[in-house]
Amino acid sequence: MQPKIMTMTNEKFLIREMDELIEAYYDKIYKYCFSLLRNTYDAEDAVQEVFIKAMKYGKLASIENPNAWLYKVSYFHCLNKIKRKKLKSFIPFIEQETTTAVFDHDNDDQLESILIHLKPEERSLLLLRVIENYSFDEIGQIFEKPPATIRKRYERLKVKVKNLL
Amino acid sequence: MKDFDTFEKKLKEQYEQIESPNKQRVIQKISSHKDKKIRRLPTFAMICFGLLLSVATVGAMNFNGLTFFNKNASSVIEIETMTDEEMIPHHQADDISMKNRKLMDRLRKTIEPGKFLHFLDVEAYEQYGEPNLFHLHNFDTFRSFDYLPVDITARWTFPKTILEQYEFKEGRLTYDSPESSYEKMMEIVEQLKQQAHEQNQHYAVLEGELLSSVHSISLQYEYNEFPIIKLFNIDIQVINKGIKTNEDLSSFIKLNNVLETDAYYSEEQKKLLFVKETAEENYLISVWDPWTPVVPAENVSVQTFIEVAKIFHDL
Repeated sequence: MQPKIMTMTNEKFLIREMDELIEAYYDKIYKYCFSLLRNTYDAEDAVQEVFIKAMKYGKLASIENPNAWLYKVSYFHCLNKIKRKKLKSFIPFIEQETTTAVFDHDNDDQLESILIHLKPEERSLLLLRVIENYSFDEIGQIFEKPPATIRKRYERLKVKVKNLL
Repeated sequence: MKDFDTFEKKLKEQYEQIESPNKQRVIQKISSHKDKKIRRLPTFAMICFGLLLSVATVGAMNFNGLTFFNKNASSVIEIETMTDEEMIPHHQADDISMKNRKLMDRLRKTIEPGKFLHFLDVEAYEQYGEPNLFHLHNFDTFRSFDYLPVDITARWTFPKTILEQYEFKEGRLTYDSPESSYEKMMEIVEQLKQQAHEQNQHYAVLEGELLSSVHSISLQYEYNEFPIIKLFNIDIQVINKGIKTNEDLSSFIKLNNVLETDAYYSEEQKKLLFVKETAEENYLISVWDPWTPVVPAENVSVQTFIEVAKIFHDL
């Protein structure tokens, strides 16, 4: 009798990895997407899409830094979402989606006002630097830009924030 | 807020407060997406297995598994026994193979080297409500290592003799089938179903082309000094992460410090399993004695299995 061995069950492991990934990173990615999109509905939709993308990628175990990888996917996903929204706003006679430009939580008005004045790219840079404490090298990898460029942008961003204070 | 430091502090505080109000619902949505994928697995599982291996009877399975760690304590490969539920499509596949055994043997003889046949039993499809798409192919057998393709010889230099007694007798290669999506598989199933109806047959076949990449290598070494015949089979299989098997793995025990990577041995099955890790691929290597479980009189010690395993581990 010859034993049956099947070799295609990476998906079983993928699903286990996915559960671990969702457990570990859901909140982080939601907060990040929410900060970029400024809207609960869009943020939850984005998180869902990001994790489904991760699942389709199918090589989760080989990702060295899942945190940065998920931020990168989330960043580009959210930017695309924002761009699509902007495009829609130029199409006449179509009811525009309403974007809640305020947090759904208790917040500081001044802080909120500053964040609204920042572009999504700037908000993302701020979060990765301030919240995640990422180096310019790491942020550069996420944004696919040289670290020196990121450093300059961050310095300009700090000046912009200071002027808004 | 008067300065950037205060702004940073406030930002952190507010960031911490952000919560996803519908978190559980979103997680459920993601989960339903991955559940869709796993529900498809049994069909694919059968596809892959049915084609390669002969019919086997499967008993009740206990859950167990083996995890192979490398010297850095990282998990390299996991082997799990299929659950009873996962075995259902395999039982169906067994029944279909039994029913069509002679037909399949006949069809195999028509397959040209480098090709395989998709085989669908339409009656079984209607009976089970799930398509059981088989791949039929022939093993590529060889009796000299000179026959092996260059990419194999570049990676492996197999010995003609092991333990000074066992001579290489025969080997066989299996090649990878092209990867196919679920949707593509279902297209083939529908095509075969229609073809079977048009030809008024209970089955239909469609030719496919195997890839040139080798999926597994089996080698047989024989000690033949009449009346004693002893054999060692070495199976080398590319496994990137894990496999499932219908074997009961509960009889395997871990052998500590015999190889650089983990090894497991089953006295009952006379089989030693270990993993060879390379920069390109991970290989699961089985060293087993096909005779001993059947003819227990000729016992080969675990130490002999370890010696054989070391030879292939160090290649």
